[in-house]
Amino acid sequence: MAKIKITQKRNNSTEITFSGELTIFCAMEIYQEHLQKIKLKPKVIIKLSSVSEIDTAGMQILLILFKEITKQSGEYEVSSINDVIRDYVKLFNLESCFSPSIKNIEPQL
Amino acid sequence: MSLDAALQTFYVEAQEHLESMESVLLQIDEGECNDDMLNDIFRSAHTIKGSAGIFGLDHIVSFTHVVENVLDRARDNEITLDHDLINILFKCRDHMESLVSFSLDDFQDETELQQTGKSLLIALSPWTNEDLNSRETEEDSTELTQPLTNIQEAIDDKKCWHISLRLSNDCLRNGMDPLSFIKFLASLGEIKHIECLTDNFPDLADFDPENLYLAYEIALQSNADLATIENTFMFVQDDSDIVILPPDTKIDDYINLIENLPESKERLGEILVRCGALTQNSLEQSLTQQNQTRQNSEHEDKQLLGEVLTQQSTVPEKVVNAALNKQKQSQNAASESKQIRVDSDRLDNLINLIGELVINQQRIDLLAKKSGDPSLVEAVDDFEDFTEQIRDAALSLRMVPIGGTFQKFKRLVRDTAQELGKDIELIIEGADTELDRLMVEKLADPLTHIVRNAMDHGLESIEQRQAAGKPTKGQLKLAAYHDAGHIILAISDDGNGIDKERVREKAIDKGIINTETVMTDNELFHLIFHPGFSTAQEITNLSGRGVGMDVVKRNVEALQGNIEISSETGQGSTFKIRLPLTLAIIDGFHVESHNTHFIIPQATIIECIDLDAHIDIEGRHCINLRGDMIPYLNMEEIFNLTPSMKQETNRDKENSKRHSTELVIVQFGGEMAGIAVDKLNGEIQTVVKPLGPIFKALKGIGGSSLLGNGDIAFILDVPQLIELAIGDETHLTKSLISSNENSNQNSPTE
Repeated sequence: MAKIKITQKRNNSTEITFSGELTIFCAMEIYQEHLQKIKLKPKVIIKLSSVSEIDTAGMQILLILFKEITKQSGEYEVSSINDVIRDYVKLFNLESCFSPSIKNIEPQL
Repeated sequence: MSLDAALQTFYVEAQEHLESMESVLLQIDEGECNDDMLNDIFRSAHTIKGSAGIFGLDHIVSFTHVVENVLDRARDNEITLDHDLINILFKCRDHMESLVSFSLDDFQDETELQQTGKSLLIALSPWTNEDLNSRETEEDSTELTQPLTNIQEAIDDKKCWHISLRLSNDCLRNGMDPLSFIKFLASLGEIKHIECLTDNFPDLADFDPENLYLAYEIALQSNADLATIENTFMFVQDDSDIVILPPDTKIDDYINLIENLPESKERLGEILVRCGALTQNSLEQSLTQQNQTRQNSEHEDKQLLGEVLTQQSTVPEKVVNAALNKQKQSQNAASESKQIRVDSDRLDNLINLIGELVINQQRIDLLAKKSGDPSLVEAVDDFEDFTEQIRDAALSLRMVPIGGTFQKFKRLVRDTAQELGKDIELIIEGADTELDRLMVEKLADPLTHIVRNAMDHGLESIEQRQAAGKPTKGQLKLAAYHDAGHIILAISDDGNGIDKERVREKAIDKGIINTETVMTDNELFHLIFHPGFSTAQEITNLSGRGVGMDVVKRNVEALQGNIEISSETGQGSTFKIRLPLTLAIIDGFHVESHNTHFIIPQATIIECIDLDAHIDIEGRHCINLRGDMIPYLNMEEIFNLTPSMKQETNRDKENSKRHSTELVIVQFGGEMAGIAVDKLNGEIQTVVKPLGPIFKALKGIGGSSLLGNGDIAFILDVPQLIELAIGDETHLTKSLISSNENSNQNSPTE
């Protein structure tokens, strides 16, 4: 099961840590319990290094979170990832979403 | 469709493909070999691999991949399927079957199975290695030449497929992750580029975490054909928009794709450029061109899309062919869809209900007759007619041709013959004969035993056959046909036959009979069904342990059938398994003896005669029927029926020594016998209800049935009764002879 820890920091930022299995089996729970009522400060730090497994539903959770942050005109930073996430991101060429700072740079063919 | 259900479909389909592989391999082994067959077998392996890949069953994929590879080469006439390869392929097929039966997790623990897989792959290597080597050298050479020539590059580019995936929203919910499709695609070649489109994501509030929002544009470099790539998405085709563009697709088609997709054109264009499907230049050019042509075409009559495509010849031949094939397939699928898989429990339930219907129909019939209302009686008659039709239709649902079961023996015979070093040909007759599904299942084991025995003990080795002046190829025949309301399965061989003397010796040895016992051939042959009986002088791993034939008999008897053996020394033997057509509802003949109801299965009845009109041979239950001696049984004697009080008084009134007056002549196999009863009540549909275990020991009764008036009728087990009648007769004869002898001896002293 996935765990989400959301910490509101004093420096006007929110830290979100995902750990465990980020899959279809807990996507609904994460969404209902955490995402739906999430409060975001202008800066969001996302930590993913303890995610043990991710599937497409899990990835969608991250993507909708990124979208929401951007929509609220906030900034986000994926501060830590691991091989599980890296492999997925690489396979699907999602680097731009995970490193928003280089968003405008086209990935090389 | 949930994942479990889809997986279940995979297992069922895999099994079907494995069966088809087996039958094709057998055909090829017999020397027939054509392109269609090679295609068939390749397709089977390929589909198994493909579907397994979707479910992430990597152990199946990795093994099947190699097999498929070999088959592909055979299909391209690069290698020929010789005897050795076919043997290995048979084993590979079996291995695939065991792989399919294990989940990936279980497979990890099965070291033995893994070992088998490895050794099979090594065995296959003579046929694959070349391939891999050549491919490697091919790749090497491309690597070498690539930087030198642009042409090579162009060819490489050509192999790049473009796949546009807009999968169903429910895809994730149904347990299918696009990740697994993409991983499978990666196994077909190299994924050059994937673009994930996040455009469809809703706002957070509308987000459904179990919906799939991501869309994919994939550039895949692969030598696979369209069907292969299409099959990847077999399980998600419904509700999904999947566009697969082959490597040499014209730019216009990409433009069409862009037009048809929901995302914005500019963005899609960019993506396709990134995927390498288009260059920036060509994209711009064609977008402008298209705008122009559109303006032009608005002036012209609207053409059909197909026409446009053909005129522009934008559709490569491959795609058209694939589309045609696809249509053919869907036509096949349409004819397949006329068949539905039904849970057998549901069918059984239906049969049970129809049984109740039949009983109730009889009750109504009885009431109607009692009422004497002619129009009611007529209506009930019509009703009865329909009940009968419903019954027949329902029963036919359970019937399956025996051919499938017979087919499985081809393989068994082939392998066993090889193992024994014998040359055996299997002949199948009457594969279309239909049998209750339940019986087909329960017959598989008994048949296997008999077939094995015939091959091991019956058919001689090549040398022995030559010495006996027979053709070296032994014949084993499996036949199925109808006979007097029964199904006969005959297994015959042209081998040595059963050695009567040895059976006798062995039986005496085992203490089953003593040296004086006189037996008919049939009785003697039946000794082989005795538990622990074997005449084989050496025990092979096939048979000879004496375990099996007793089980065969028990299984067949459990199906209310019997086995007849005939054998001719030096000529061969025949085992005939005789089975009732169905077990659930039968046409019966309702008779009465001392107010007890009996049902005689109609199929066994030859005629009904008046017992008094025939000469009863004194002291013996035998009549002379047109010159034939027919033994008969009296129901009241066999079942110790005592007349009720009422009957007694009636009888006193009649003041006659009353006995059964009607005789029903029944036949079973070659034997005939009579059953003496008081009253014939006529035809009746009979729902067979099995008797409880307490009555198992009761000879002569096969089941019970409820009559329309609520009375219980016993269904007579004719084969057992005939056995009894004949047994009694021989017993009587013997006792008569001995008593005559005794009286002869005694008479002088008197």
